[in-house]
Amino acid sequence: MRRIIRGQVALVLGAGLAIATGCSDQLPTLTDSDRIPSGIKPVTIEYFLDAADFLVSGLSVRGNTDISNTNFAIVAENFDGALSAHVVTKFEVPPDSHSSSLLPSGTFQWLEATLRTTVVDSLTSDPAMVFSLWVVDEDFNSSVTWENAINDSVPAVPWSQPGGPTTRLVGTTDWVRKEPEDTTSTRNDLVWYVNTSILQDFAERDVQPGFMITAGDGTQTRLGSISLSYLVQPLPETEADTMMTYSLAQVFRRTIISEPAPPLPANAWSVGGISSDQTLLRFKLPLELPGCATGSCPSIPVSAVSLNRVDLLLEPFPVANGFRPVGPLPITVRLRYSPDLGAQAALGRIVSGLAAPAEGFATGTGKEHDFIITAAVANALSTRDTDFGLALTIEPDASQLSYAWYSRTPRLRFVYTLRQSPELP
Amino acid sequence: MRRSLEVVGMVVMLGLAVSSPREVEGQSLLSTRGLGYPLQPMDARSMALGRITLGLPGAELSWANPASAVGIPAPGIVFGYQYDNYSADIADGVHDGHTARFPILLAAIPAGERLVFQVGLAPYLDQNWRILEQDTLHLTPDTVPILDWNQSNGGVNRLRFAVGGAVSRNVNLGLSLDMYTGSVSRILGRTFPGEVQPACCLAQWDYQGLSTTLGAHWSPTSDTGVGVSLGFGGTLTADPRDSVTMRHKVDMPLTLQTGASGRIAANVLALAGASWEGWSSLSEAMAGQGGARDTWSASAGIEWDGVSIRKTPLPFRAGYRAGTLPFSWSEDGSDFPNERAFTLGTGLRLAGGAVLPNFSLEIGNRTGGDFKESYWRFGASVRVMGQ
Repeated sequence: MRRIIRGQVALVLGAGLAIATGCSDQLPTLTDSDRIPSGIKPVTIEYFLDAADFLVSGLSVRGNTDISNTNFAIVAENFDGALSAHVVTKFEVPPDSHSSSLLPSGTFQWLEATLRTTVVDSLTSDPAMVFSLWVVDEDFNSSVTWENAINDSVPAVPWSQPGGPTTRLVGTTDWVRKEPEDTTSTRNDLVWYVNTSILQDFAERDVQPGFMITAGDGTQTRLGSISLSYLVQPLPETEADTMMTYSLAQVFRRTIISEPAPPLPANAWSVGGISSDQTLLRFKLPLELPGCATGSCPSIPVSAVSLNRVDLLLEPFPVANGFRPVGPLPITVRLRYSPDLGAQAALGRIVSGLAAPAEGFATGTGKEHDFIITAAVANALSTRDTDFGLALTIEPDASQLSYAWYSRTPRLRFVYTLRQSPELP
Repeated sequence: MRRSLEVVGMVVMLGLAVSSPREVEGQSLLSTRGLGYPLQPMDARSMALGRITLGLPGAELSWANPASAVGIPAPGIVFGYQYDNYSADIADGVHDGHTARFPILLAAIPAGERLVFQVGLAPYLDQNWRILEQDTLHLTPDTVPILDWNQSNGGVNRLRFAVGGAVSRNVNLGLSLDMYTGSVSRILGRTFPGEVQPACCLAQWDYQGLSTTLGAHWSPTSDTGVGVSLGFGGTLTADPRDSVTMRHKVDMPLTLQTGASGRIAANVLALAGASWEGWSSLSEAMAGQGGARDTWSASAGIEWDGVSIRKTPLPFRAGYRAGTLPFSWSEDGSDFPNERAFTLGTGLRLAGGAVLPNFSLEIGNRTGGDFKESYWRFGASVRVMGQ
């Protein structure tokens, strides 16, 4: 009996070892190019559907946002001969003392101030640009617009000149797009040296310093965060002898633009922009697909193929009034539930997305944009649901100045593989 | 009776281990050809002796010969494990791989001194492989990389019921009935970037069928043995699990195996064996893959037990085997591979002989035309006998 138990223990250990070792199995795999007989090789077909064959309806709807709802900083000057955009900002009042124990009022001297921002070089219209920094002496608040310095009072207080006063130039700075191999963190910095007397003056008047950034003619770009710092030094009679750097907190920052949002185009669909446009599409999906790539052959049920890829192809359309993108535009595609409800149909989950290249929106001759919607279409067809709705948006709302406009001639591309029946030899 | 129940318990336990859901992977690129790579159920002792499984002196638990277990004094079971490592050098490069598997599970229960019943499970045809072909597809305006798949998972197993009996003092006869079991699934499809494997085109078959083996064993003396067996492969049927896929039937080969052993010195046992299998009966069915041919093998082995540790002999074994394999490597049937191997091994005798662990190492190669594959195989088995 004892021997039997020993034997069982040995067997259990052996089996455990064997199973554990076997867990690293590798499937014998051949990778040469002629092992699958040509007669049973999968056949893939690319098939295009024109708008007339699947498009039920398409419309663009305008959101209820405008430039006052945006949070980006964009500067442009006469871009595309139409659009100008300035960035205005206010900082907190410079203090007249920095530490009651170290540098009380009157015990320090201003040395140097700098205003910094960065150029988002992927969202820039030109590889070389000039930027100007202006001091804004006129009072303005966060309701600022292109025409009015204060827009939320009755009556509104207009600027002395639309777009903000350009009377006190702090300086101009050049920016040239750096080579990609330049990975330094400051490669896209814009720096202006601000005369400290300006800050000192604001401090003495107890007024929040206001600045405005403008761009060179014909350009547009997005800027990063803006900061204002300065250096002070204790006066000789104080015990402290170290120079100290301080930063002023930003009170607000606004982009003001010379043009309202462009009207919805008559011949194109619109997506994004400051008005958060959405394009709502409704398709009738096919339940049958061609059974061969060329020539005539019977159609086959879509359930009988392996759907590899489905693309919505949209051709970019020129965007008017300088609102075209200058860099990739992040477009989101969502499902629409019950698309027969039209604009009231609820938006569903995200099914695709694309960083839409900017090129086609300038002249309209760019190649089609390719939105991959394979999973959503396959899911719909698996339940034989041919009523299919999509919404093109840019999220979150009002996160982009620019619009994506597309011709109303969409195409659907189906890439599918005919099913083969595996056989035993 | 109680001991018999314990042995049955071991069988169940090991059966569970063997039939664990993890797929056993292939051990050679040759598993891609024909019906797959044929496996020979045996323990590590036979492996170390050049794969000689018939004609060993005394009563042995042997898959190849249902007559050889006659005379075991108590219920017993043998369980084997193998670890394979191969490296194939073919036209498209070098392919390395490894796998582990359980080549044999065989139990025998004597009923008196002249009759023994056997039950066992063993893999027979290894059909685990994958073929991947890279290509590109022009989808306007881009070129998209694609991968064509042809993959097989599974294989044919055999479930054995056998009986052996003594017809005279030195001669035993045996008869086994093997049921083909197992299944295979095949995937044929194409993947695009982002797809892990083809989304379609899976077909599955379950194997069934019957085969029989007649065996005879003659032990002129306690140190000699001669064994011979004749197997009738019957028909292997692959039944599809869906209504679209075709059913397949193939006639499995006639198999003739023989082996003999004798003590040529006080501590030296010499063995020789040979086999022939009529795989050419499948040649027509395998015509699309280059056909099939009859195979043979010849083996020789030697066992020296001149060393003892605490009065327990520690045997050393060596052997050589040469043979042919049934399925062509090339489509035109010009590259039928051959297999050669040297074998080594040893064993232990524990619990007064109730537990016999054995170990083996086989180093060999398979060559045929453009196909070259070297391999080594570690084997371990344990035979447990009741008292």
